[in-house]
Amino acid sequence: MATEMTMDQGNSNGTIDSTKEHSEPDNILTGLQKNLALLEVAVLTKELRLVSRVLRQFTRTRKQLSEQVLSQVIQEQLHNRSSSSTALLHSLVKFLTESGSHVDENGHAMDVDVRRDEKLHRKGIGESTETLLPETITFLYLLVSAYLLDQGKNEEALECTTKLVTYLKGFNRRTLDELSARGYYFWSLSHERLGKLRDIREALLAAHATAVLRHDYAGQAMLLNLLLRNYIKYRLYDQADKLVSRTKFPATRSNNQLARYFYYLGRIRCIQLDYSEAMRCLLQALRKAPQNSALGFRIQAQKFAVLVQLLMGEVPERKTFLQEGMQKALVPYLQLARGVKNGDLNYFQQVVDNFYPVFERDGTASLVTRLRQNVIKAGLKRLTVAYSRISIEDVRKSLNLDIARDAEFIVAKAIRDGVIDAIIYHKEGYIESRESTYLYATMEPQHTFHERIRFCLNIHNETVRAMRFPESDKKDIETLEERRERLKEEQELAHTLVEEDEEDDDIL
Amino acid sequence: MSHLVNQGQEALSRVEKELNRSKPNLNQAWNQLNDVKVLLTKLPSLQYKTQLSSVSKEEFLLARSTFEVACFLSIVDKDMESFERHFMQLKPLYLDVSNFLSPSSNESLLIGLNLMRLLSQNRIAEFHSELELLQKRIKEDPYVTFAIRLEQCLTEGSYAKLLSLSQSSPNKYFQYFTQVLAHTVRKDIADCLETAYRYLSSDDAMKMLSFGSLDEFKKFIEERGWSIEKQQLVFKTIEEHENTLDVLNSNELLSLIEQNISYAKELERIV
Repeated sequence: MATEMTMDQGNSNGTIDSTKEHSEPDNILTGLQKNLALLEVAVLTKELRLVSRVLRQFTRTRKQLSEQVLSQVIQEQLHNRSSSSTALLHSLVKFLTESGSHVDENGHAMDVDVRRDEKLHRKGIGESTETLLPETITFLYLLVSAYLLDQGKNEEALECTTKLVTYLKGFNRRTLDELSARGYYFWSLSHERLGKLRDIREALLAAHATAVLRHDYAGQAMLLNLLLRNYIKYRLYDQADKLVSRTKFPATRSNNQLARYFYYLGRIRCIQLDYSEAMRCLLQALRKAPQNSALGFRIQAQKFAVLVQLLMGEVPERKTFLQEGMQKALVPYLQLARGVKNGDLNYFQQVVDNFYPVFERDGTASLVTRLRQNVIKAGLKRLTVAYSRISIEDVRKSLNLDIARDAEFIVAKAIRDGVIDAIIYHKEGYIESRESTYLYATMEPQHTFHERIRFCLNIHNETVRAMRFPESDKKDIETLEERRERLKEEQELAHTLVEEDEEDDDIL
Repeated sequence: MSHLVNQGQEALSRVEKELNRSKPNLNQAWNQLNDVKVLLTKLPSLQYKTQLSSVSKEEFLLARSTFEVACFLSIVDKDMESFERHFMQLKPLYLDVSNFLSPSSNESLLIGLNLMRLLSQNRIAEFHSELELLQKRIKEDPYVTFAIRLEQCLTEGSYAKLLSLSQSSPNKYFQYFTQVLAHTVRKDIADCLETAYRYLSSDDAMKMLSFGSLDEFKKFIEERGWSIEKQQLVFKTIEEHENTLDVLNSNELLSLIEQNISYAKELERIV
């Protein structure tokens, strides 16, 4: 399915990049070490923002991973730790068996580096914990799973992520939420690659319920999306709809998860013929999606948006088809739109026949077949605008309809549905279109105006809600020592902030 | 457990025999079928959360044929709700264990019938979500394409084509639904007539609504509250609407006030 491509943008470049960057693995290594250090700070200070910052870099580092770097990082973490907590990491190394020889070869040379780094990193945090943090373990697991998936080693990835998920079940830590959400993502992805998505549905549902009970918002958002994806993959739109109606998407969430949620919701709604709602969701999805990456996701959402718009009887603007990187993928849809706009049934049918395999692959085929009646309606609309009076026989001919009696019914239905404003004179056999009413005297402009105002107000409210406010009550009671501690932390934060000038996205 | 399965199969074949008679005794058939359904609850493999194993295969098959028979029986009984209920129970057996059981010969027929049910009840949204579930193999089955073609006619407005198509139903069980569908379509056409015509001769109207007898037609007109003048149906148009264009009705006024107040409230929050 094309959606798979959508959701997993990074991996196609993964293999190429990792070889390209091979010349400077040190860079990646230090990057990873910094990330791990940051993660420990995050856990110690319970600062969730830092965790998400680490994860934001995840996409970038993922493209540069290599076995060598991975095993080195893991070895480093194993160093000087008590044996009880390292068992898991040891088993993690096994997934990188092929690199085993690498480690032996380079092991000695690197040891020096490692010690130096260790020192640096201890200086940074003050003191390092003797036991490994679950966050660290999870993070390393995530790295390895991502790497395995990018390498196409789906079986291993499945094993690795399953281990991770079982491990995660034992914890209830807020600092782990974002990481474990990622863990579930890779778990689901590796199942999907192997076509086993159906098997984990129950486990996902249970995990979602747990996430709700623990107020784990990141997990809720991720798991809800995974479940929807799971249902939609098997086209269980009924179940997906019921899930949506019985759950609430958490209010504090990342934009990318929200974009996905809206995309899935839009797909459910357009199957249920609720086009206006589907359109709203798909537009939201497109708006919330990162604008300069996640191209696959945006293309897929755009395809559905175009179809839904056509089904609603509107013609999308030309510039939607000319967006950067999308032109080629949207060509079939552009031609569809042309067919609908001209009300040309023959041309429309030709386009459908030509591109049917494409539509089927995109999962839009059933929507496309629904479009036929819209072509007829568009044709009718054109006719009634052009002629104040036209015989039904002429309508039938210009719309290529088979039976005369049906032509009359079709016109009658179009009038009832409010597509055209006309009156049929049966005996005389013609249609007379009515004078168009003076639109500005009706409530219509007011409604449109209201829609827009509401939209703007909504945006404003959401932005206010998205802002972060400092906690004011903390600073009142603070000893000198604490103050020193805090300043140090703030410096640390400022340091990382400088590095973070460019916001990366976490749509994977 | 196999004696339970055998017992069930025997009872079921009795019901089927009853069903295939020209004048089935429905009460008796239902009673027998209910016995089978009670028996099904005792089968271990149909319990929640049992692992699929080879032992349970015939138990699943028994359950499947039981509900299939129940669906057919409901149609003969003209009980749409019961059909819906039984089909819902049948659905997981078709979908979730499809790679585990050999496909049933009745599957596409029943799916087609279920689509017809949704169509005749005018539940188009559900019709489409059901349609999405189908595999290509089933989608191309004549029973299913029959329902799909009818749906296309319905949304398009080709009522004449639809009615002539529904005459040629591929199976005797379809007849019940096509009859119901004809009623739905008639209502649809009547709605269209009301809005699209100012007047229409009653002969033509009768033809369009495909009434066989004048009495039926007269009754329909009464129900609809249409008036006849000089052999012609006259539909009230909403002409008054034009006079009141610049005066808003109270509903619109109220919503306008509500909207304005909400703007004021939001603005206050911003400032």
